[in-house]
Amino acid sequence: MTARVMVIDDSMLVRRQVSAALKTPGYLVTEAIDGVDALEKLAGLTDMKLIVCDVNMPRMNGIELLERLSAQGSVVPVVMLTTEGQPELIQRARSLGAKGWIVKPFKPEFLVATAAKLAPLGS
Amino acid sequence: MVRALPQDTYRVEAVADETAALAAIAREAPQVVVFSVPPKGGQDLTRRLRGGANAAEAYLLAVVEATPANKELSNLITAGVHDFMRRPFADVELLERVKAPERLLRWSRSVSKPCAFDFSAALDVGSLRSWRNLGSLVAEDLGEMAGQAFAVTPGWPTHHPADALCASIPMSLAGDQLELRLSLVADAGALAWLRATLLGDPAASDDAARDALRELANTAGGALKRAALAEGITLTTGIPRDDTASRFPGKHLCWSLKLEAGAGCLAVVGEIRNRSNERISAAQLAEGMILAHDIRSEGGVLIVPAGSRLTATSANRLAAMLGPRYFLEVAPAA
Repeated sequence: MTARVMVIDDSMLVRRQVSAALKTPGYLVTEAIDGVDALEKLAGLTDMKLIVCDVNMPRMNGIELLERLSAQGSVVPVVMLTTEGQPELIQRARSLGAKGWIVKPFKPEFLVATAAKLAPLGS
Repeated sequence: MVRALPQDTYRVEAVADETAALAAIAREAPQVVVFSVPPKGGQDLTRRLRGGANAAEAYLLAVVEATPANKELSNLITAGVHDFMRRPFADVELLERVKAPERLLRWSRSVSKPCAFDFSAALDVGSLRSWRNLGSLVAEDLGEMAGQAFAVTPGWPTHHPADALCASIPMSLAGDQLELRLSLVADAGALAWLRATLLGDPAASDDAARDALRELANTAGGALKRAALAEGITLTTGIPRDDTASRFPGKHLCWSLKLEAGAGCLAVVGEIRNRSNERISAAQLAEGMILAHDIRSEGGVLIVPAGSRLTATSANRLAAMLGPRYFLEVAPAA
């Protein structure tokens, strides 16, 4: 069994690192370069089980994406993966439904453990 | 008690009971409240006075019986009394006790240690510990990201070609009209390491190498931002971008990060410059601008806090919400 995860980051390096970490245990990964790209791709995917999302991105940032997802009534869990650590920002993300906040640089095993908790493989 | 306080110095109002006291405190917001403590329930009365409207900052002076129990005094202080005096008392004692908060204020000012930053003056970023220790700060996070330690030395690397690859991340303090820029410059050895270690492909393209260096700059910016936050300064981070190493001819805050395994070297460069904010119509808001002030609704509800970096999405939304006749101060896009 597997589960689909979306990785949203404007850095190719981060998308590559996160994808590699999640593909190892068996997740299917869809990549997006910012919030706008993510919304377009999510519209065509109904099996998304988890979203891993950066905060600072061009066009539409991670907080704005959370607002859109919340307004759409999305139930897909979202984990923020960012260099930001501002308490107000974390609280804002939490109030918009984010399930986790991981500060870069991240440990792949921690990310995988978080994914396993929110989107267990085989669920 | 009213007679004991000079009318040319103090504006005094006397009331007879708790209800009248709470109403007077709510109306006048006095600096000092002198009240008689009843034989029973003094602690509860103090709490009710302290909890009343406009009472949170008042200095409470309790008048107690001649021989109160120690426990009673302790309870009064716990409930919010600042000072007390015993009956009977002389007029001069009341006057001196009422003067006490003024003396305390002067004493507090005289012994207060200088705060980290004088917010009434322009912010001296150079005094930030996080800025002074930028090289070590960045080395720690990059080392964690790369799984490899860096040797940090102050100064520009000895053999760093001007055409080395460079990426920068702009950081702003819009309220202080300051822009900080943190740049990473990678020499050929560092680029080879970056391709082999971070990208896992020694033949990775120049685009991939540039992207990886931008992410290193982003990580470095995050390290600085979190450290500055611990010092009470909130920086707004921009989007990392490619830059040119040749634009560092003068003296900058600079460190060399030498890879302990391998021959590569990264330079960390910090720059600060003043950048005037602009007053523009909401219709001119655009991606990358940073709000210098909070945006609030007519009812005072916070819509977007000061220091927010606008994306195209938020710029368009604010422009539509505020309209072209609404003018606001922003730091221009870096």
